[in-house]
Amino acid sequence: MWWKNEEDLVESMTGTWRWASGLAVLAGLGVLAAFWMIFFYVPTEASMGVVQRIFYVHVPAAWVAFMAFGIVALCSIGYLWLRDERLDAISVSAAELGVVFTTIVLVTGPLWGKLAWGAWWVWEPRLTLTLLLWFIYIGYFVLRGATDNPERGKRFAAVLGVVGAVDIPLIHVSVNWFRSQHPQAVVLRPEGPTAGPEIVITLLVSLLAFTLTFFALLLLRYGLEKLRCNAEALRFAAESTRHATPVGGGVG
Amino acid sequence: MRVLLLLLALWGAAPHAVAAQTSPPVVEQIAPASPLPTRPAPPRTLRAHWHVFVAFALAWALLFGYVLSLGRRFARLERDVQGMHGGRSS
Repeated sequence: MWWKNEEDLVESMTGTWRWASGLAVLAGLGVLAAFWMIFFYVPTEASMGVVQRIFYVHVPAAWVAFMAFGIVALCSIGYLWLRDERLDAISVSAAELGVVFTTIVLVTGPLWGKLAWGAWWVWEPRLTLTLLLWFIYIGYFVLRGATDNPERGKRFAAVLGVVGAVDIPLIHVSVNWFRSQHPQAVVLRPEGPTAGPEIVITLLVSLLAFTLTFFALLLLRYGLEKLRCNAEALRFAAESTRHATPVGGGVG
Repeated sequence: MRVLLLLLALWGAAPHAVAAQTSPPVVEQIAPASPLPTRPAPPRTLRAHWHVFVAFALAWALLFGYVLSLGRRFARLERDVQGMHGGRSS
């Protein structure tokens, strides 16, 4: 277990809530600022019109999803190396949020594509690789629960979490490497952003709001994982007492 | 005399003709080297606004749904933990 006793757990949970609440307030302010900028500050883009505003949700959601899966990969490497349960808890929390934000990417993209391309979905490299990423991390959860031994499930999922992250740089470079229909990057370019300053500023505020929202939710989900482990440990202890066997520690 | 006048006229007109050939009309100067792809007009229809609304609504509905699911899982876990504490104390 990650905590010595009940008091230690309560103290740790209080700290997690405090940080999550602070970040949630900041995220709320960021989201309000981003909404004001998206609908009242930034001018309508010349070539695509009003539908381009979807970009201010689609791109930050993609950025946060990639960051989440990056965290999964790093913490999975740490878990495979150190077997620290906290790293596994961060991995599973970030993976869940990564799936939520990738779903936002996969939902908002077609709503733009239908008007820009005339089709809801095109099997082009970036879209296909993003869908593959979503399936990989759905597989991450399936794999965790697929074995009777939770420890083994965590290890298998950690390996998939590391391997799956290889898809992230592929998605990033796919528009340059392959004949892609997806628009090229307009901000993160070696020669500087090609979009107007209002568009860049609005995108950056939206990125910040989504990032703060992600970390607030990550802390909440991490707290939930701590409680779940506590419940598992209590259940294990209760079953051990019932079967009159010595208590040998909790399920992490 | 007529031949001389004709030669003089041709000699005087030649540089202008060459100049006219070498400097194309203004319209041709600003024309692109290759034809630009024809771009459809920006969609400023009600449908475009509807797509933006649905995109934002779905994105935030997904996030709020996730927060609600977290809350429900918290409540269930707390109930479980309290139940186990109650079972142990009794």
